[in-house]
Order: sequence, then C-alpha cells, then structure tokens
Amino acid sequence: MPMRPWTTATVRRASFGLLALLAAVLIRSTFERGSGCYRSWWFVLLLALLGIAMLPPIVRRGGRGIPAWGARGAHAGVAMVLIGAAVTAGWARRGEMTLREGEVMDSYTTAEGVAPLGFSVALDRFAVERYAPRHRLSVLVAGTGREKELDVEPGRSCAVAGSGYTIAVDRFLPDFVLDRAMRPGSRSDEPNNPALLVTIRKGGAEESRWLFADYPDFPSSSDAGIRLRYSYVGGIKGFTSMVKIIDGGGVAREGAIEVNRPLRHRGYSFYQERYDPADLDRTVLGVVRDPGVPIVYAGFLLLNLGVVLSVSGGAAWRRARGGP
Amino acid sequence: MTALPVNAALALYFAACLLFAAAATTKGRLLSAAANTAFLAGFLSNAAAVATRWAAAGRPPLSNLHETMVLFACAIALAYLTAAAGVPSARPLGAISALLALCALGYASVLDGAARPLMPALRSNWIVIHVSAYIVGYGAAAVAFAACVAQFFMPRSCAAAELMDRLSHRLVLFSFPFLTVGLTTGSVWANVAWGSYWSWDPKETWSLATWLIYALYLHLRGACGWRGRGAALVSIAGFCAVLVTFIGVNRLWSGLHSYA
Repeated sequence: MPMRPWTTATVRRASFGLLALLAAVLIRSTFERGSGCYRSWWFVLLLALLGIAMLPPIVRRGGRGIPAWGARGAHAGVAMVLIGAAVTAGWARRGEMTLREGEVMDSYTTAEGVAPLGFSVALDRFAVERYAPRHRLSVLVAGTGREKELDVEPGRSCAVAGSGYTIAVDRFLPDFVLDRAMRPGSRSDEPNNPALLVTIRKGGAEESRWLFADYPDFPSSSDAGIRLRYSYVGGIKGFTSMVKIIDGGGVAREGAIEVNRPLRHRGYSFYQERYDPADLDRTVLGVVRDPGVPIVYAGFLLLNLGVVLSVSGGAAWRRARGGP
Repeated sequence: MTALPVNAALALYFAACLLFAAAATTKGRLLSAAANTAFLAGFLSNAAAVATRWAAAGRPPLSNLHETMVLFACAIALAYLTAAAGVPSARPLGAISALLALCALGYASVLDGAARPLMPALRSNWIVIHVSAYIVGYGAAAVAFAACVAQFFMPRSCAAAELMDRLSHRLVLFSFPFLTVGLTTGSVWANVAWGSYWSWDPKETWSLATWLIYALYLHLRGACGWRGRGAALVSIAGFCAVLVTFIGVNRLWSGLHSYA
C-alpha cells in the first residue's frame, strides 16, 4: 500500500523542525521588540505552516484509545486557535472612547479614525476606589539583630518592646515637597512621595525626623541605637465606570465596567482601560469587536482536553516507566 | 513571609542537598533516608511559610515574584518527593532538586517581600488557576531538568542514567498539561482584563516558546524515539526557557507583566 505523504518521516521531521524554528524565532523576537516581525509575511507564513502541520495528526488513521483521541484533540485545538487568530487579525476592530460624566457617545476612535457603534454609550459616573493607607515601620534596635515590624498611624505613638524607645507619628504627607521657604507640604493627595514625620524618644532624649517610603536610605535617626524604615501600603483598588447603553431609543443595558469586568453589547466589549488622575470625571474605555475570540476559546478548550487525555495513562506513561 | 519557616526551610534544603550528595557518594541507606527526611521537613516548613503568608495577606500568595518563588521552591520539593523520593538510585537527582529548591527560596528571600495590596488587574479569580498551574508545571519541569543534568554525570546507558531519562520524561508528561492550562488561562484572563487575548508581550512570547520546546521534547520522544542525552538537551533548553519566562523577562524587558 502506498504511504500517504503526511505519514512519511520527512514530513514529521519537517513539522518538528518547524516547532523548533518557531520557538527560536519567538525567542529572537523578544530581543527585537518593535521590529513588527509578528505582522511580517514570513512570520504569518510560519504560523500558517504550523496550522497545516496540525492536519496529519488529526486525520491520521490508527491509534485508538483515549490518548490517541486526546492527541487528535490537542492538534485540532492548536489549529482552531490559529484559525481564531487569523479571524482576529482580519476582522477584529479595536479602539477606545473617552467619556466625561454625563456625556453620551455613539462612536469610538480607532487607529484609522472614528468608527460608529450603531448605539450610544452614556457615562453616568466614574469612581476610583483606593485601599485604606497603611503605614509600617521596620525598626532595628542595635544589639537585637532582628527588625521589628510596627503598624503605625499618624497622631499615635507606640513603644518598641524591650528597647526603651517610643515612636510618635506626628504627620503624614502623601506627596512630600519643600516649598521655597523650605517648609514641608504635600503637592497632591496622590501617594507620589509618601513621608512620615516621627519623633523618637528614649529616656529624656527626643528627635524628630522625616521618613520617606521611596527613599529608605535617607537617614532615619542620629541615634546609632535605632534605625527605621518606612513602608507605605496603599494605592488604587479599582476604578469603575457606571454606564448606560442606549439602543433602539431606550436604555438597553446598564452596568458597571471595571478592570476584569467588561460590558458586552451587540458583539462589542467595553473594557475599563485607564483614567486621568488629574481629571477624575473622565474615563477611557477600550472598545473591542473580535469575532475570533469564540473560536480561540473553543480551541483552548479542545487543546487542554486533548493534552490532558493524551498524557493520561496509556503508552506515554508505560514508556516513561520503562515498560514496552 | 514569616522569616522563621523560610529560614528553617532554607537550612533543611541545604542539609538535604549535602546529605543527598553524601548518600550518592557513599551509597549509605541511612544517609539517603536522612536526606529524604530533611527534604520533606524543608518542604513542610516551606508550605508553612506559604500558609503564613496567605493568612497574613488575606489572599493566595501568587501576586509577585517573591511569593511565586517561595511557591516554586515548594513545588520543586513536592515534585521530587512524589516522583522520586522512594527510588534509591535517584540520590543525585535529590541533591540537584534540593539545590534548585534552595536557590529558589534563597532568591525569594532577597526579593522585596512586603505584602502589598493587589493592583486592579490582579484582582481576579483567574490569578489562582493561571499562576498555580504554572507553579506546579514549573516545579515538575525543574525536577525533570535536574534528572536531565544528573544524566550527564553518569555513564551512558547505565541503569541509573536510564532511570533519570525515564523520570525526566514522566515529569515533563506531568508538567506539560499544567503549562498548557497556565498558557491558555493567562490568555483568557488577558482578554477579560485588557480586551486582547494575545499581545506579544515578552512574558507571553517566552511562555509560548517554552511550551513549544516542551511540545517538541514530547514529540521527539513519542514519535521519533529520542532518548538519553539528546532528549535531555531539549528538556534542559525547555527549563532554561522557563527560567527566562519566570525570572528573566521582568529583569530584561518591560511589559504587561512588569508587576510580577
């Protein structure tokens, strides 16, 4: 019986060579970022060849049992992911829309220009949620050899157990700056340069110092017996755009768009992309219409199932255990 | 992480490494048992460090390089203990595995270990499945690498070298589905968070290259019958790619994963 071309060892070797070549190209590409190689004809050709190389293992005769079907599924999954990626490359549309509270928009901006949505998006409210700030001092008392961690609060003082030191936190400035008269102040409410004013007391002696979270090497005390490091823990917890989708003359959808929580309507997905800390009434939403996503997800599912089934039990493990 | 369990784990991994090396040289059963016990105790201390951190942070410790390196050390120890602890001729593998766990935990202890609140993009349930799948996969890949390295210190075709070869194959077979789950769930998560399932970010690109190298290893073994040092070299290349993906990328390039 004549051998099918795809079952020959040459084709198999070529397919494995393609895997090695693709891995090498991917590694090389990370050293040449911005070269645009992922959109070059030869890279697309490599991916297309990879897709074609998936076909012989899918249609191969023989090989029964769960591992063989798993291997077929895994190869079919890779092929499906590549098809989905091709659909994304050819048909996906992505852009963004900048909305102010109370504003309504029926289009979004893409790299090519302005594109209509076919419905409108209204921003009701934009909110930024922050973590409650926490101030932590790492205290090293000479001779103890170990740092102690103290959670402190402005306006309170605490004792460093077993050392005779007390530390009072007098003031917190989130964005420390010195004015022209060299008086400390805060440039903004954002924690760009968090600083704590602390007073260190022991016996009758006391000393006040500014500690900076971003500059831990700044001298914390003239007393060689104690060393302090300040850590500021805080930041943005999340940001949310409360929007209404207006379609067909009425409100079709209403909801919150957050990071990791997009809103979908008529094939479009709206993502919480970013915001301007200097203008908290304004949000930037990512707008994506990507028909390739369901195909890629189906491919992922098939790939995972296929890989699990192909390595579970069967010949691979017997070989690995040294059996026939 | 609390310093005490981390320091205890470091000491125990170091002791296990020395004991395995001594057991490999002298073939002493008592030394081998002591090495396995030290490795197990190191793993338990390491797991206690993870649990302590989890309790202190109020979330799974998966969100920065310090936390994931501590887990990686734990995964290496677990992979060795489940795959090879009972095999007497796997002592060289034990020495290299304990050394890898020691290096991972030692590296974690010099990284910034402050428990910071999660940034918005990381506040997702996807982090649990994505990162933990990768850590399990990387742990098994590390021990597979150790088995491949051990082969090069043994005469070709001796029983111990063949055992190392089979063990490395088993560990890659175990690791590969986890690498696949990690890769694909990361892609799904990226689509949920940023609206794009693939951005050719350096970490994504290296993780795909890593997956391709291990896929190549399995194909070469399964379809072409590669064995021994040739196959071992491919597995070693795979683990080098793991190290770059896991540690090197964030040192060399900025990208979507710069927080990790």
